[in-house]
Amino acid sequence: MDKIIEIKGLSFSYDGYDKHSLAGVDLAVDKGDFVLLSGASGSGKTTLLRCINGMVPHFYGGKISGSARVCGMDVLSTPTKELAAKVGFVFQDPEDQLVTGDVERELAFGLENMGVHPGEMGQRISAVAGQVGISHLRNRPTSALSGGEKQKLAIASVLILEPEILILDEPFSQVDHMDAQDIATLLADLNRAGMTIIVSEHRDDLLVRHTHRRVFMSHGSISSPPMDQPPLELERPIAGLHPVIKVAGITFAYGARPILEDFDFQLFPNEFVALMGPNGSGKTTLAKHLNGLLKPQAGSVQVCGLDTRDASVAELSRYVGYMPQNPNELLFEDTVLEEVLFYPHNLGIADVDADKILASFGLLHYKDRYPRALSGGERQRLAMASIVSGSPRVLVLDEPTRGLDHGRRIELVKALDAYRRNGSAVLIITHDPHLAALADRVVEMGYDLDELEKDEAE
Amino acid sequence: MDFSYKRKDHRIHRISPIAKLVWVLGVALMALFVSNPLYLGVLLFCSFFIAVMSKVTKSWAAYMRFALFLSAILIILNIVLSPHGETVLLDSGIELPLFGPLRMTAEALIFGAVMSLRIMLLLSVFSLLNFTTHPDDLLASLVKLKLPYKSVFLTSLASRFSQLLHSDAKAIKEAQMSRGLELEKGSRLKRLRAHIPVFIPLLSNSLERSLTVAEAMEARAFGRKGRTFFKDCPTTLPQVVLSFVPLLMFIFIALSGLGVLQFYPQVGHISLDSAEALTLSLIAGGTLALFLKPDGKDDRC
Repeated sequence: MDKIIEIKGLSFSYDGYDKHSLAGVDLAVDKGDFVLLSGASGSGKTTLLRCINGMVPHFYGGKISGSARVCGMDVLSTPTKELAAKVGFVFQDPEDQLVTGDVERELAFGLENMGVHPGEMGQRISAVAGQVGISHLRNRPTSALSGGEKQKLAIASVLILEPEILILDEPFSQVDHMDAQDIATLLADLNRAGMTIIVSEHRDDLLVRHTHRRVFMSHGSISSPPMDQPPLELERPIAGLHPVIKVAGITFAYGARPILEDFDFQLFPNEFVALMGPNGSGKTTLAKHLNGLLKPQAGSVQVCGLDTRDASVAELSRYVGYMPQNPNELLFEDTVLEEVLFYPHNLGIADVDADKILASFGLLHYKDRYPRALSGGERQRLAMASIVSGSPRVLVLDEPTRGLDHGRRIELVKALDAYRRNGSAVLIITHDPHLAALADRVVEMGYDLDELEKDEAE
Repeated sequence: MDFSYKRKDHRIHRISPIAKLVWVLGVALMALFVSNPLYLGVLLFCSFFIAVMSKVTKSWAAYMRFALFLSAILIILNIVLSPHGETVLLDSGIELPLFGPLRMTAEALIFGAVMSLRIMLLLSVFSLLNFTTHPDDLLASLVKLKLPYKSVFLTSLASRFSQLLHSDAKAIKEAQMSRGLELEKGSRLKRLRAHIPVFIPLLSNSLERSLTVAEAMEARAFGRKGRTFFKDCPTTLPQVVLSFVPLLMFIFIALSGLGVLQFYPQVGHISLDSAEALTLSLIAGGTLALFLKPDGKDDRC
């Protein structure tokens, strides 16, 4: 049977880099396969995916050798806009894919590019919106959508072109657990109807049961599956008595409806706490109260005895280190080393063993590199190192394991476990139930018990 | 203040953007030429009426409040800086270097008031265009007028991403402040330098994002020949004809000198006799015509 994707001996290096991102890849995919691509960050997964729709080499340039045939077409000589009719590509961040301001126009965009007759478009838009479950959002502007809804829109706007192959590069990256489940179910349905699907995703637990094939990559070529690691056992220290963070009866609203209402929370020394909940439940809002980025409209937040309303964010940063979801918001220095030293220098801390910190995050060999030359997962680790270097008493991390493969996730948890001793504390916001299970306790946000009881009574 | 398009499913919002553009041009020219407050007032009332019809009254009113604020400044400037006019109300006796004697005249006051009316009218009609036309539709119309698609599309992309730039800047500021960056204290120069860790990631992120967006667009076949358009705002003949009415009225007014008022040294005579009333009614009718036309079966947008 003719393979829908046939890649033989494919090697590729990006412009200006000697190192091969792909080193002799052989991959054959049958029509109707559901392939899950895994591997450490920097192993070549994204580059391989880009080859299937021709962005490598046509968009990126670089040196390529070997052969790649997709749907009977030779990738090396067919431009991406022609391959787009057969191969759909969904990127990690929906914000980078949505180019119009409205849901309906976004769906029409691909059809317009392909020169589809306007009379046909309305019906195709309705069909795809129904299939993906966003019909109720049809007349909204994209700015009104949540992260998960945006990603569904991005998928729909690619599906509308009726490709034979659908590629997704870390589609769950910006999406919470419930939306990730919806998307996984959608992919399973599409696959059952005959679509060939290739997904690269670290959060693979939702996809494993649907896939036929797992392909692992390491250092630019296909490799054998990694060995199963033993489950992590953490030796939990005893929590201190006096809270380092005390949130008492805070209320906060961005607009009319309060996101946090009379909310209480405490964080004790030596604790490792996970904060979970659906999008919009107030997790990030709460986290921003802990270092003074937001001040409560009612109630108070005490950090190491200091009321956040009496101190500036810079002053509070001495006690609380906050890492945002997107590491790219931090990176601005010329070298990795300077990036790590920025925080302690602002606090006036002189003796920082930057080498040790970098080594603990596996970044020592990148010490003099330009931070933006690092891959996504590496930037995530650099962002972490840049917060840990300030030695704040409390670490507040928003989705710290985003973009990290399994091995790195475990290393991260070990590092956080080591940090939270001797009176320090760690609070993480996460969508990942496995990660949350490793914490001392989990705080679930977004469930109004009164509402739940009312629903049950009805 | 929100200057953006207000999404409403209403026939006025569905009128072809080109027709609305031509209409705005005609009314704007009339506004600039005419100085009789009766005429300006009638035109302003027409635009208010159109705002009510298209259900954008609240946004329009907010815009007009801003215009009133500008008007107040304009009136004050005129009173203070313009010494011309016969009817002197207050004389300070001081001689200003460039402007002459510092005195307040009734003529200057009236002139200022009428000019404010003109500014409010101009702001009113442009805001109507803004509130009732989706920017993408407007751009699509420009493409139909044979402007190159890629350039037009670039503009709509830029407007979409400028909003993102704003939220990005805020997020980066927060992230850097959380690393101990002091943005509020110090001299102006010091504070400017302190913003470098905000500017650089903003710039780098935007550059990186533009690459990824370009990739995503390629992957959705952008750039192929033979592009079609989903939302085709057709410009029907009735719409075109009605949209030119204000422009024609302007030409007539310019040639006949109607509606022009003298202000200095004495304010000219304003009368509201039957001839004047008729003229004003015709002007009102011509201005509203495009928007009073009922929905034809071809009007869809």
